[in-house]
Amino acid sequence: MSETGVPGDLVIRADRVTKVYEDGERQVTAVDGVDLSVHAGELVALVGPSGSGKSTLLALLGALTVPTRGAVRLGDWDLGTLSEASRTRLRARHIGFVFQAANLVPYLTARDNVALAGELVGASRRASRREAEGLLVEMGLADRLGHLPGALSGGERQRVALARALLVGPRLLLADEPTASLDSDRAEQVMGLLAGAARAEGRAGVVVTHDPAVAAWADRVLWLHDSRLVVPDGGEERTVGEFSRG
Amino acid sequence: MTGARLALAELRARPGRATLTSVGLALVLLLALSVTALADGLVRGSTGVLRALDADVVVTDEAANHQLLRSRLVGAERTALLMRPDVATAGQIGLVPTSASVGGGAPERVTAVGFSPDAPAMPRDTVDGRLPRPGEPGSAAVDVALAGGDVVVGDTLSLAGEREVEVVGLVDDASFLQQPTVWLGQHDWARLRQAVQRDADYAEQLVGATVLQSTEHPEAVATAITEEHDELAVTTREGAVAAVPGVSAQQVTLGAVVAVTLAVAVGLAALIGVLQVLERRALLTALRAVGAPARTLLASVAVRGVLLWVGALIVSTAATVILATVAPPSVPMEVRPVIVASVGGISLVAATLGVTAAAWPILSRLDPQDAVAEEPL
Repeated sequence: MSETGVPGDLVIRADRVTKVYEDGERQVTAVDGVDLSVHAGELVALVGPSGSGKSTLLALLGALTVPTRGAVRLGDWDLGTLSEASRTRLRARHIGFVFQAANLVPYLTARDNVALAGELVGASRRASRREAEGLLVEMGLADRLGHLPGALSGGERQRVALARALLVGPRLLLADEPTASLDSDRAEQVMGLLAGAARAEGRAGVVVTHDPAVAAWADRVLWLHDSRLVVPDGGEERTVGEFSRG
Repeated sequence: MTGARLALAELRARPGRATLTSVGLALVLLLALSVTALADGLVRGSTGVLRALDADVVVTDEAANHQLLRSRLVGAERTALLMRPDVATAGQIGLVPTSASVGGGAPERVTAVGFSPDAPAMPRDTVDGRLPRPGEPGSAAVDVALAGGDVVVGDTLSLAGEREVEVVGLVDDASFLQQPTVWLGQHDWARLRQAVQRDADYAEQLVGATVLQSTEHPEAVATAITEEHDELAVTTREGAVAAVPGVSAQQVTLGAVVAVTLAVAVGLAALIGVLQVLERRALLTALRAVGAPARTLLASVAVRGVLLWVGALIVSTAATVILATVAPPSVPMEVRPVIVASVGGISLVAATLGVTAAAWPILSRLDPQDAVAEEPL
C-alpha cells in the first residue's frame, strides 16, 4: 500500500493467466488461471512450496516469458503480444530484477555493474556511472564502488544488484528469493532496502520467497499451490499478519 | 558500445587467461604464417627474373609453352612483333644455367641472363652500380643473393670456370629457380652459352624469349598474338610466372596447407568462443533477463574474439620473423608485410565470422526465464 493506505495506480495485472510447458509428450501446467493485480506503492510476496509455480508467475510478470492463455498487462502493454525484442526493451526500461544469485558481471566493478543498466537503455556511460554512484551510496556502499563482485560480501552483492535494478527507475521491481543465500542480519538489511524501493515513486514490487521473514515485509502475501493461487475462505488473501518477522 | 566495453573489461580483468588463449591461437597462426612465408619465398625465388623486368607479355616458341629456359626464339621475331599497334616496345632475353664464383671462391649455381638494351628486357632497378652497357664486354650486373650477399661492385666473377667478368652493378630480387642471376650483354652471354652448351654455336642474337610492353590489356594482346602466330606461345607475365617449373605445384600444395591451417585456427577460435559462451551461460541469461539484447552479448563475444585474435597475430608474426631470421639461407622464408597483412586480414575476418556464427545460435536461444531459479514443476 502507499503511505496513505490507499491503493495507487494499477501497475501490473494478470488475467486468468496460464502457462503450460511441453515436456516431451507431456504437458505441464506451471501456472493455472491466476488473477493478480499489483498497485503502485505495494509490495506483494508470492509464497508456496517448490514447484508451485511462483517463479514461473514471476517470469510472466517480468516479461521473461509469455502466457499460454490469459493476459499480463504492465501499464498499457499486453506483454503476451509483444515481440521478443520489445519485451527485452521493456524489461530494460520498466522492470527491475533482483535474482537469488546476484548475477553481477564478475569483471565489472560495483559501479559499472549498476551503470550497465543505464547503458542498456542508451544512457551515456558518464551519466550512468554518476547515477550508479548515487544509488550505491544510498545503499551504504560508498566505499565499495570500485570493487569487483568477488571482493564483496553476499549482502553487498545483493545491494549492488538492487541498485542495478533501480537505476533506470522501473515501474515494477521483481525479486526472486533475494535473501536466500544471506544470514538473517544481512537479509533484514537487503529486504529493508528492497521494500522501501518497491514502494517508492509509484513503483510496485513482487517478491518470490520461501522465507516467512521476507514475506513479512510485504503488504500482501499470495500463496501458490499446485500452480494456482490459494484463496482462503471468504476470498480474502492471507495477510502479512500470518507470518512472523522472524 | 556496451558489448565492446564488456569485452574490454573482461580482458582487463583476466589478462592471464586472455594471454593464454592468444598464445594458443598464435601457435596455430605461426604454422599458417610460416608456411605462407615459405611458399612466398619459394615462388619469389623462382620467378624474380620475370618480376624484375618491366614487361607485361612474354613470348616463347610454341614448343617451350611459356617456359623461358626452353624457348629458342631469336631476336628477329621481335621485329615483327614491334610492328603491332598493341605492342609499345619489345626486348629479348636468353637464359643459360651455369655456375659462378666470386673472387676465386667456391662456384655456385646461377642463371646467366642475356638481355637486349630495350626497356622490357632490362631489370627495372639496380640497387648499386649499373647494368652492362651495349657493346661493353666483360661486365655484368649480379643478383645481390650471389655469394650469400657478399658480392659488391668491382668484384671479379668467374663464369663456368672460363669467362671472367667484372661486376658493375647489383640487382635485387631477380633470382630464377632459386638461383641468383647474372645479367650479361649479348656478346658475353653468347660466349658463355657456347662454353656451357658445347653443341651451341656462337649466337649473333639472343636466343630465348621475347618480352613486350603492351599498349592494351596484356591478356588481350597475348590472345591476339597467339591467334595470329601458331609458332608462338604468348602469355602475360603472370602466366609466365605460373609456367616456371614447380611454381604451380608449390602454390597449390602450400596454399592447401595454409588453407587447412587457417581453417583449423578459425575452427579453434569458434570453439573457444562457444566454450566461453557456455561457461558464462548463467551470467548471459541474467543479462538477457535484465534487458541486454542478444546482439549486445554477441558484440561482446565478437570483440573479445577479435582482440584475442589480434594478440595472437602479433605474437605469431613476431615468432615468424624470428624464425625467418634464424633459418639457414637454404630455407627461402620471406616474411613480407603484404603476406602478414593478407594472412592476418583474411584470418581475422574468418575468425570473427566463425566466432559470431558459432556463438549466435547459443546466444539467441538463451531463455531469460532461466534466470529465475525454480524449474517449472
